[in-house]
Amino acid sequence: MSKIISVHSYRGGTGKSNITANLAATIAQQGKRVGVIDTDIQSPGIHLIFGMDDAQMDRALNDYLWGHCPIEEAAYDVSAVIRTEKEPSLDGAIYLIPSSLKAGEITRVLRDGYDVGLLNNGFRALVQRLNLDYLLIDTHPGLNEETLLSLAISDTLVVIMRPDHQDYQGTAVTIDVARKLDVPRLLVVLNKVLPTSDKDDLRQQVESTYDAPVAAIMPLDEEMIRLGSRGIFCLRHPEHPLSATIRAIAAQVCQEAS
Amino acid sequence: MSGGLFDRLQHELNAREKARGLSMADLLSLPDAERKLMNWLLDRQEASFSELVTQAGESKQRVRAMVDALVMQGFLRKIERGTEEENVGYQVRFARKRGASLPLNIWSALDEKIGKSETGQGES
Repeated sequence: MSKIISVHSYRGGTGKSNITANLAATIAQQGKRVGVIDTDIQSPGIHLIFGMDDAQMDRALNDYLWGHCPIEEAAYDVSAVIRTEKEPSLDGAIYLIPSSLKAGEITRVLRDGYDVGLLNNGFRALVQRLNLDYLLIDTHPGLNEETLLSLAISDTLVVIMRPDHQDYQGTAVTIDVARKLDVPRLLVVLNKVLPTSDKDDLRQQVESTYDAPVAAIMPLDEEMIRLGSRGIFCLRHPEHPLSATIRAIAAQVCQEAS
Repeated sequence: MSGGLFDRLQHELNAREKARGLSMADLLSLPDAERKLMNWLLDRQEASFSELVTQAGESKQRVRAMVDALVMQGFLRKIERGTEEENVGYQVRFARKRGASLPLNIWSALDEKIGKSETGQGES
């Protein structure tokens, strides 16, 4: 049965889109059909991590929301990113539904709004028409209409936070709202943790504060910073410890959602 | 003149119609029982009255009152496929996400500037 996974953070800059892209690639490498949708309409960008630029995008989520096309026509098959020389014919697939990076289209959404019911129908239609095993939703940071909708229809919510006081407060709000929306599963990922931090202590603090499991603690990593969203880290550096951590999160996401 | 008045009235009615519906903020502020039912229906997409009763775990009368109130508020849409109760379905009715309420001249100035920069006319 298909599952919808929202990846959210209360504040920007937590590494949410990078983690979403890495999770999608890891799950697809296991032979699953994965959709990734960028609902961060006001500040989109996950397509860059998949190696797409604006010039390659004929259609985006915006076109669907304005009734210009069915949602699957805004989906790009980016499965080539997971195929390697060693494994050129993996069964898995990734479909990316980007949001437009054109300034005029972003301001149009801000100015005119859109039909939220259409977004909800779009999520379902994508899962059905692309025969997806997983739909990963890269949400807008903070809480807005599309983020709340994404949370409400998710089977699992992955909340990304940094060990930062503002993130702690904001994550409490997100988790409180997610519980009100009856999200069945919650996982917390601590990202950009200083390598010298006491990870066990952090895990314990977070789990007791939010009463939710910590799926992983990811250290602030120079290689990841150097990559600068110009690719999918776990595909570039499969042997890196951070890639092993991503695989561990993916296993929990799939296990939790099954 | 009457055509103009009619158009304006129609426009106003359309705007009111679009404004009806459930926002996610509305959902969060519903009482627990109603919110839980709506959360379930969001996932389910459509349900009959008897399915809503089973899900709510409350009496038929209590669920009828709840559902009628949600329909009245414009949060639920009734889909009638026949006169029998089993042929009536209920769906969540979403409100359109409203655009930001900046003065129109700000948007047109922004459009003009962005239009120029996207077509390269604004570059010196």
